[in-house]
Amino acid sequence: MATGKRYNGFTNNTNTVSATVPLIGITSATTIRPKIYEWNSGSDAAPADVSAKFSWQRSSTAGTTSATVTPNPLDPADPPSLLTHFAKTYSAQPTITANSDQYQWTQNQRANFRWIAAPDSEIVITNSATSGLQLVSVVCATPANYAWSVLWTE
Amino acid sequence: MTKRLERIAGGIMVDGQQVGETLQCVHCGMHWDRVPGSGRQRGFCLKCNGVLCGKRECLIECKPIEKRLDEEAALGVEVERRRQELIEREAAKGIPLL
Repeated sequence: MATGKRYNGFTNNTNTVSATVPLIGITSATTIRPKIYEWNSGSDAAPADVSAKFSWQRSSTAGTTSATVTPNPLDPADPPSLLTHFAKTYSAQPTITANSDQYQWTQNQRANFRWIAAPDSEIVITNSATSGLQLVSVVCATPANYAWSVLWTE
Repeated sequence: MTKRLERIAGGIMVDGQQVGETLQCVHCGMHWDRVPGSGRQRGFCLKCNGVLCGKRECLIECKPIEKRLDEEAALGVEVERRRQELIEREAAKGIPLL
């Protein structure tokens, strides 16, 4: 069971394959150490048998966002998230760290995928305003719109 | 009775059904799907008493994920400090800030 203040951020994007342009960008801050404990992934496009591969990778710069999402606290009594940003798109891309995959998964566009961390196995982002985790599309022959919901503690 | 050395670090659900589990590397924090019999070479750190993902940098040196995260945070603080210094220096020269 995750402890701390819990937040949910969700967004959607077309999963065009790119090693440098992320689909979601979560950037930490100096005062928090976000721990991602769950996410959901699925497509809201017309059902089609298309395989997709995604990866969460670390980043070492914050980049400049062009569209962000405001995370929601799961407990209404909690304050707003202290993340530097939960980004949908960037005008200047963050720097993705090579070989820093934290998890890769494949899924069919018809299916939805959910990952849940065991206690103390969450994916941690350090307490730095330049550290982040980026969701990257690794493989997809026919991109489609996907929606994601990510949950973390701060 | 065999004691299981690998600690299940996460669960995977597809269309609401649990279909698998993930393990986590004690050196880089990476998760991967647990596929018994896959033949994929991973590793085990006797100092950390945990499984390794098999990446070269994780196999050749024992550096726990906590230490890696601390180093990354320290680097981020240093980068931010230098950026602030640069901004202040440019501001002192009268160069407009973006």
